[in-house]
Parts: sequence; C-alpha cells; structure tokens
Amino acid sequence: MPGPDWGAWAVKERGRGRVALASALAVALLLLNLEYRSGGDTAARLRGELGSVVAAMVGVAERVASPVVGAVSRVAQAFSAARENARLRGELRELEGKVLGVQDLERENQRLRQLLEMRGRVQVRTIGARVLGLLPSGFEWVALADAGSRDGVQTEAAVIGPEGLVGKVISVGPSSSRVRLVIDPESTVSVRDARSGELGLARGMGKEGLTVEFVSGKADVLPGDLLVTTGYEGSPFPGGIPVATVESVGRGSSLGRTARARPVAELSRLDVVVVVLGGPR
Amino acid sequence: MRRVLVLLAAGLVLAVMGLLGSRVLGGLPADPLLVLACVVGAVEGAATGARAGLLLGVVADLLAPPPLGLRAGVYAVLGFLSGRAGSWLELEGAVSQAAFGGISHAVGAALVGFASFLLGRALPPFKEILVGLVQGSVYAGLFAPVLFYAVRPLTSRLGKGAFWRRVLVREG
Repeated sequence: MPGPDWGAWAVKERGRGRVALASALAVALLLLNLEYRSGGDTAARLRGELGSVVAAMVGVAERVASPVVGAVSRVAQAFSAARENARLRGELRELEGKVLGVQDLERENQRLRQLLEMRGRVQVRTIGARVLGLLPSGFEWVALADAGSRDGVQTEAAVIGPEGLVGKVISVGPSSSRVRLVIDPESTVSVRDARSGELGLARGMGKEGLTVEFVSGKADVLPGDLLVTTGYEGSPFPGGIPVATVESVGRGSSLGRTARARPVAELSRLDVVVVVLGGPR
Repeated sequence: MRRVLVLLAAGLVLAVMGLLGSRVLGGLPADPLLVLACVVGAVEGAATGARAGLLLGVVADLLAPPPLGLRAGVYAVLGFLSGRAGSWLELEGAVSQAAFGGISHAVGAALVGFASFLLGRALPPFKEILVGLVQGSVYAGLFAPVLFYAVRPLTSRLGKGAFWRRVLVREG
C-alpha cells in the first residue's frame, strides 16, 4: 500500500500558510481601522472587559496559589514527620517562614502608612487600589490596577503611590484600569522644583528615569532637588505631589535647560496605590 | 473551535502568569504570548502559526495600550515565519528551543517597537531599546522550552499537526 504523498502535502501546506497569513493581516488591519474610526470606543470597551477578566484571574491565581503552597508544604511535613530530625527542621523552616511573613506584613504596614500620609496631602477624593502587575514589554511601562469604573475611576486620573506620583490612568474597565507610569516615553508631567520654584516638563525615558526640560536656560536646579507636580488648572495631577529627584543637570542654552531625574515612586515593586477620583473630599 | 478556546485559555493563563511574574521580577521584558505564537507556529506549521499569532496578538493588544491590531498583525507574521522556520530547523533540544524563543522574541519585539513608532508612539532611548530586546530574549529563551514541552502533547491530543507529520517523515 503506497504511503502518503508528503510532497503534495508540503505544497498544499505552503499555500494554506500564505492564505492564513493574508487573512490574519487583513483582520489585523481591520482591527486597526476599527480602533481609529470608532475613536477607540469599541476597543476600549473590549479592553476594559478583558482587563476585568484578567484582574479576576489574577485574584483567583493568588487565592489558589497560597493554599496549594500550604498544602504542598503540609504533605512534605507529613512525610518527614516520622523522623524527629526532619520535624525539627520543618518547625525551624516554619518559624523562619513566620518571621519572613511578619517582616512582609511590617513592610506592607509601613507602605500603607506612607500611602495614608500621601493621601492626606491630596485634598481631593481618592480610592485605594492594588497593582496587579506590569504589562510585559520592553518599550512601554503600563500597569494593571484592580480599581475600575465601578469604583468611580476615570481615564486621565492621577495614580499616587506611598512615595509619590506613579502615573495616570489611560483606560478603564468595570473593575480594572491601566496605568501609564511616569517613566513611559509617552508620559509627560508638568513639574516644579520644590526648592527654587522653577517650572519644567518631565518626560519618561524608560528605565533611565525622566528627562526634565526647564523653560529658562538659567533655571536654578541642583542635583538632589525634589520635583513636585505643579497642579495647574486642568492638569490631572493634584499640586505638590513628589515626582522625582534631580540626578544631574545639563548646561543651559537659549532653548532652556535639561536635567535627568529619578522617580521617587518605587515603580519596580508597586503594590498599593491611590487613584484620584476628582472633586473635593 | 476547541483549539481556539484552548489557545485563548492558554493565552489568558500566560498573561496572568506574566503579570504575577512582573511583580516578582519588577517588570517582565518578554511577552509570553509572543513566544507562544512562535512555538505554536514552529510545532504546527505556518498556517496554524499565523492564526494562533493573530488570536494571541489580539489578546496582547487588548491588554496593552492602543492601538488594537498592532500586535495581532506582528504576531501573525511571527507565527507564520516560525512555521516556515520550524519545517527546516531542528528544534528537539532545550538549547535550540531556547535560542529559537530568544531570537523570535527579539525579532517580534523589534517589529512591535518599529510599528508603534510608525504609528506615532514615542520610544525610549536607543540604548534602552537594545537592553530591553536583550533582556526580553533572555527571558523568552528561558520559558520557550517549557512552552514547547506544553504545546506538543496538547496539539497531539487535539489533532496531529505539522510537527507530528515531520516526525513521521523523518521516521518513514
């Protein structure tokens, strides 16, 4: 009995591949067209729904992971219970785990206190949110938070961490929102030097931090200066929120003066934040 | 339809794992959905790779900032190219799978960056882009063999694909 004709299959497969690619690209172009034509409304709705699904999944994963880890360690302990030595070692591990847990709680407690203090500085209504994680990318710095339109969050809302400004909301779902971090290249924040009062515009530069352009070439800016939000009318950011610390200052010219700054918020380990809802408290 | 749902579920699980991983690592420069699209392409062939890339790209687009369709297009191209490459590459060992994952992620991420730039998005400095690409490739290389390991039995259960046909050709 003759075997299958693999040569014919390969030719057919190649043709199928080209057709599939052409159709996929057509669908992608159609989606791009939909995004621009509908002003992003349809895509934003879909984005919001998926964000909420993913946020719920993260919650479930967290809940599932902790009992599983606990159960695994309990099973391991049951196997080793026969031997006294292993039991003692298990107890020691447990104690070490408890110490680590206490340290973790202490750290969380401290950050929550800092966040409350920061919240006290903002004279507008806010809501607390948890950062679920950063979206994977080497070019964009966007986080997913677990507060959405059901909590009153709107796009452009400022997001503040225990140390200072984190970013602003760029899209909102029913129970989740995406936050563009201040270091994202698309992010710009109007800032003021807390010491000298010089005004500037901070732009995100990725992991390199922020580049700040001061209007005056003779701007009085020194390394170590704290930059805070200006809070001008119409700005999404309330005034006086710490944004970054100046690291180095460039030479001034007729076009202005540029400085490099490092954000005060610990963006690599975001956990709890407050989202500004607007309106007085 | 069953395959689409399985792929969608796998994509969502990977997205959740990526988010959780980013909290531990302080950010994840590699997109697991892009690597999955390439692995499906390499295992299942160009046609399935393009379709899987489109589907996973839409999921990635919906998670990332606008525009919708950018990653869908790029991931479809990458899935297709992986399918073509997979028919003549030996991707049996973990090292070759890691290298494949790393290189395909670098190409995909660079294409996403370039397409974003063409659509008017601001990009970080060039040095930062290079560092991001290298870091992304390293992470992608680390979990690509795991995805190969997971995709092969899954595709064999859902219907024999190009990978199994290639094995049959070699064995025959």
